Amino acid sequence: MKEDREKGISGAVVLEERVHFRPEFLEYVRRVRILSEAGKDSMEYASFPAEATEIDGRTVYRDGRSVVFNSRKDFQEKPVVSANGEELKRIRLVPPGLSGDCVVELKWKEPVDPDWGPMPRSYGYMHWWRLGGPYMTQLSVLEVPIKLYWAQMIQYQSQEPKIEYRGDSKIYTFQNLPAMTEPPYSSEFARDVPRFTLYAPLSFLSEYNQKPHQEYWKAAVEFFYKPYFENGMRKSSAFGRLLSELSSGLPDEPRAKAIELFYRLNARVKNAHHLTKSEEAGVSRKEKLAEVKNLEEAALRGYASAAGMRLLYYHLLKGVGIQPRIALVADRDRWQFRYSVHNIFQFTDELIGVGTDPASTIWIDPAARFTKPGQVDPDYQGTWALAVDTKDWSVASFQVPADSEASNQARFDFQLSLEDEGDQFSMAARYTGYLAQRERNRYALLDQKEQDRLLKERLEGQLKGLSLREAAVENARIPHEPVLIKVAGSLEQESGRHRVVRPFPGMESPIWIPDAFPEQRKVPIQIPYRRTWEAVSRFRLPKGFKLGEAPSMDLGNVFGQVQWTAAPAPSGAPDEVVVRFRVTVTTHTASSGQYEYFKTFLSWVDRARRQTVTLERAS
Amino acid sequence: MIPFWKGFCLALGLCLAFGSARAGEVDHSLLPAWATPHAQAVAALPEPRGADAWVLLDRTEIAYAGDGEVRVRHLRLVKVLTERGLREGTFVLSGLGGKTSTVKKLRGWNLRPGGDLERMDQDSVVTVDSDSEDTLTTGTLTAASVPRVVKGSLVAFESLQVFRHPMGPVDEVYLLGRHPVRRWELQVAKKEGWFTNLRQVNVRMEKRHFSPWVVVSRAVPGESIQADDLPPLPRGETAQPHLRNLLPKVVVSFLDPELKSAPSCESWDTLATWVWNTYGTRAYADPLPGGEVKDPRTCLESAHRWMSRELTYRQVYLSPDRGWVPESAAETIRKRYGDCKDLATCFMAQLKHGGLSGFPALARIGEGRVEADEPVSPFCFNHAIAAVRLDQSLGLNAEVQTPKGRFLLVDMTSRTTPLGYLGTAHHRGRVLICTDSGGIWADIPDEAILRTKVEVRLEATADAQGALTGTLRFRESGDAGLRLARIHLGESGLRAHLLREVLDLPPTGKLDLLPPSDPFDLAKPFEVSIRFSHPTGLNLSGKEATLMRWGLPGLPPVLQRAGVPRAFPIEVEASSSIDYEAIIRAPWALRPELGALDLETALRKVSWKAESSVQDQGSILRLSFRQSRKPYFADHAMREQGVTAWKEDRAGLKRILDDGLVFTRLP
Repeated sequence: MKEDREKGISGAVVLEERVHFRPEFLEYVRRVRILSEAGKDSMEYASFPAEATEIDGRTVYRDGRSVVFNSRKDFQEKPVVSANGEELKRIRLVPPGLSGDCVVELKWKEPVDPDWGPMPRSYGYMHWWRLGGPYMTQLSVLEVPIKLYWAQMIQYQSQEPKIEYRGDSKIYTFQNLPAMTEPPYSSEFARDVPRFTLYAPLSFLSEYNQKPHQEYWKAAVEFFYKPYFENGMRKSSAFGRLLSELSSGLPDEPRAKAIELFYRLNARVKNAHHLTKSEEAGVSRKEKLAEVKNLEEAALRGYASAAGMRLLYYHLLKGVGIQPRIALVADRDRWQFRYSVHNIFQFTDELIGVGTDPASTIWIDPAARFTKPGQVDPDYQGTWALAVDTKDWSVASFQVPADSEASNQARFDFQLSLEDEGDQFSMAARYTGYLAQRERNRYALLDQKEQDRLLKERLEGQLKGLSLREAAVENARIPHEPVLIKVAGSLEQESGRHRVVRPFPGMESPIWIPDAFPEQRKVPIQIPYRRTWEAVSRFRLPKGFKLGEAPSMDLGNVFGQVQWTAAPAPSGAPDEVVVRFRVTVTTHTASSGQYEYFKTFLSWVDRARRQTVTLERAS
Repeated sequence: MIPFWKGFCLALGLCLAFGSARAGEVDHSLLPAWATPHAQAVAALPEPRGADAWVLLDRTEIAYAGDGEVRVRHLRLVKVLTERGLREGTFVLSGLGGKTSTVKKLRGWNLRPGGDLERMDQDSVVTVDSDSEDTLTTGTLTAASVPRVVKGSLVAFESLQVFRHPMGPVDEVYLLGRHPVRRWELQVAKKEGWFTNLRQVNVRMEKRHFSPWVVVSRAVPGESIQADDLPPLPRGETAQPHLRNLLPKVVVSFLDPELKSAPSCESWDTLATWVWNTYGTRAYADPLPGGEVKDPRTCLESAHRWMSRELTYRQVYLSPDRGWVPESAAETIRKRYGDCKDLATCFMAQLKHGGLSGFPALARIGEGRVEADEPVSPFCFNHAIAAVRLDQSLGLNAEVQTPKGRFLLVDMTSRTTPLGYLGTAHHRGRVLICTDSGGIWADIPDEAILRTKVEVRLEATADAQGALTGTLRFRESGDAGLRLARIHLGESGLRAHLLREVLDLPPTGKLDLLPPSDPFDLAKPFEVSIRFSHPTGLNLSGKEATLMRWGLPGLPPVLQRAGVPRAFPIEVEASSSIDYEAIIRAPWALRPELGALDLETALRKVSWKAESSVQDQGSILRLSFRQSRKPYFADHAMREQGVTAWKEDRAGLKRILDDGLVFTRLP
């Protein structure tokens, strides 16, 4: 066997991978043909959970010799963290004998905890296995007991597994899985790789598993989420006082009321998982880890955990007469929610909503401090989710709305003064929507002085000739206001044939432009969020210079528009030049068929962001 | 019995004597006794400007207890001044793992500006794995935090660690850190017990690079050093010599004639003999597959070839002493990986099959160099290579003549360096060849270094929109990263490396990597060619067309922000060269803006030439760029001149890159 790029064989080929579920253990087997140095990483530095036992392997060379590695000298078992007398361990193995031309076989077992389920306890209530990987896989086999009491799910796109029954086992076999690529702007669950998922059965839902989806989800909410949000809360006088304190003079309109209540709550009770550096100094570990359902204690102490904040806000909303909605959402990089799959472990977060129907509801994440109500994390935007109406605990599947490009805006105003030694400049930026949230995430936990310092260091670090005398961040902790950034400084000018003006010093790219793009693409394009990015720069021509020919751009396709112009100011001083740069990203997801348009769009953005203004000596 | 009033006075007196706080003042006596006077002394002093924290006391006590055991007590008192200074609320100790180091005591105090005292509890002590991506060791890091640290907090930590280092009772203590230090102290002692007689143990304390950073305010030779008002480490500077050759430190060694389990640092000879014994006893293995014994030169070449292809560098230390003791040669061959010591030992073992004698040679690469007057310490070195004794010269560049004979130096860690050369990391280095009769110092000769040279040949045709289609060929001698990328990352990795580090291809550009040459054939330069199309390779703007910079060197970064004085000396090690030639066919008549320019600065010599021959269908551009980099050094006294030299160099190269690639379209 040789490397063959035409056939997708490069570096290594996984000859065989097996996951075998046994009553007492999980057995993993992996056999890899390594074809070059680059393929060695398919087996190097394998890291095993502490539970791994009976690690057994060998490296086989072309001449038939082999190196066996089942002795302890090839392993290291070491503590990863030891705190409070507890030691967690893991096993590290560097398979000996790996070369650029060999076959490596490795198998190991992980004991199953019978009190937990058919997999080790450390796997949690749900675990998924990705079959295949970065190297072509000739054979991938899953052997699962037919009578498995946990629920299972096999997912695949272009290749169906062969299914066989042998004895007590059901065997899924995939052959010749191509090497998986991870192209830029793609999400894990859009990739064409088979996955096998196991998740815990819940006895209180067992009778609903075979019922229609609507009934299953209704029951799941009734028996799991409703008790979580409603039962066992500790709330009495302190909670009552908090409710009365926060509810006085709230607006009547429900959405406005909910927003104001969110701000008041965050001003009064601190989210112990999002403490500012100064607040953190004043809070003990015990205060941070208060029991989530103890709303009384949260009201008394003025601190709650992130999950505690969610419950507190939910009950305060009810206290002011709003019956909230709940959105059960899944982070697109961790899981893709499917209504047809009867598994309540699909969700990664819960949002609280106020509105008459899921589509028009304002969704709020009470666990995220310094986040504007209605600002939904892009990882959830456009994904399918489950909406719960707590009036009657009814459920509906819905798609989380995605922000429009008008919601996420960045606007920059540069004023340059071109001098002999360099360009003096000032810049004011205004961020809204998720672009503002991104800035808040960067600065909000720091005090004002440190926010300004970080901004200065960031910008100066990006452009070494830049020297800032002023740098200020405003509103990083005020979610209802746009984040403002103001800087002033100078940019060193080096002599050259022309006077070259960099119109937007220190401004980052409106959208990430990767170093490299694969030629072909099979997976959909996923842009995290739509946006509008606008920058204007003004300067006066230095004496003796005129504006050189500057190419303008006004281009657009399905992904958005890119505009760039440099021209004398239409009004004002005759020697004033105005440079305008505008990018709108109007698409959130697109099929792989649109790949060429996407690359074209990014190349326009790349060209525009690098564009300088050349001044020529006036003759 | 003490009368009531006398008891009252006594209590009052005690209160006064122990300095109880008046209202609104912080009671510094709540801190441990060693910290109190230092905290009190700065109560009325202005804080250093621009600092995130102020180290009021950094005291290290190193005591030798015999049998290789060293006890290190560290006392540190810090005043937190900003939010970033809050990190000082955590104290980190590194350990070797296993039984070679233990933390005996770890205490922490946080005296808050309001006067309340927090103490560290055991919950906040965490031991973590110190492995990094490429290393696997037994090492651990122990971090301890005091709670509720705020701006203005006085944070004190006291630790006691016991080491039994595999290399013996030797330690290095650095003086400067992120923050200014008001008082720095080092105390060294022998800790004798009833059954321990350490009279024969000699204590050595050697100061290094104190000038211009540190003025010693008090010292007792062989016992203690005290220094006041140490500056913080300069931040954000590049192109300086490695900090080990710059920053002040003290090397402490205890010379114990009774200690047999570790090397003696009495002299380089004693250290070298220990290294020889340690490596020599492990340098045994069967001949390599297919490597029958032949003449010495064939033996050298075949062992070098096989090891370069088959063995990978990996730092896998499954026991605490593995950082200093090599794996046996047979085991390295079994595992197909090893660190520098393992690879050197493995090579030494193979030499025996060709009737040659090999020796370990200790070196320092990448992280500064071994100085001529360096005190004896195993920590001078970070690398091991092999030295082959030669009865007569083989005519190879990496041979050194010493008073004790001729040796060929071979670095098996560098898989891209042919036999007879050493990589650029050894430039201006020294090695200690370790033999059974002591050490032999040898300076690495200049001609031993494999110079990096990259030949670039670009041939392309532009269309009417300025899109460029053509081929680009690299021919690399030495190590510019291409061969290494191919070996470690494969062809797809090499392609990604080219796109990330060498080429700047717009998203709509295309690049096909043609099959490169054999990266393991070290006798020949490594060749890689690409076919490309670049949508704006000859970018049109008004009357000008600008050629992309592919294959030409990048502009060096701005060294120093304007108006900010340079703190460190300036050193540039580079001594590589580029030979670039391009033939571009364009559909217009073009005239070069910069026809020819010869540039010689302190850091490089460049020759640029651009010619255009105008024809009916357009023009053919012929460009050539030849650059050789020069090593450069500007010491403390000359550092501002160094900044100027750097600026001149940058401006000169910028002119070539900016103007040389611009062509005017003729009517």
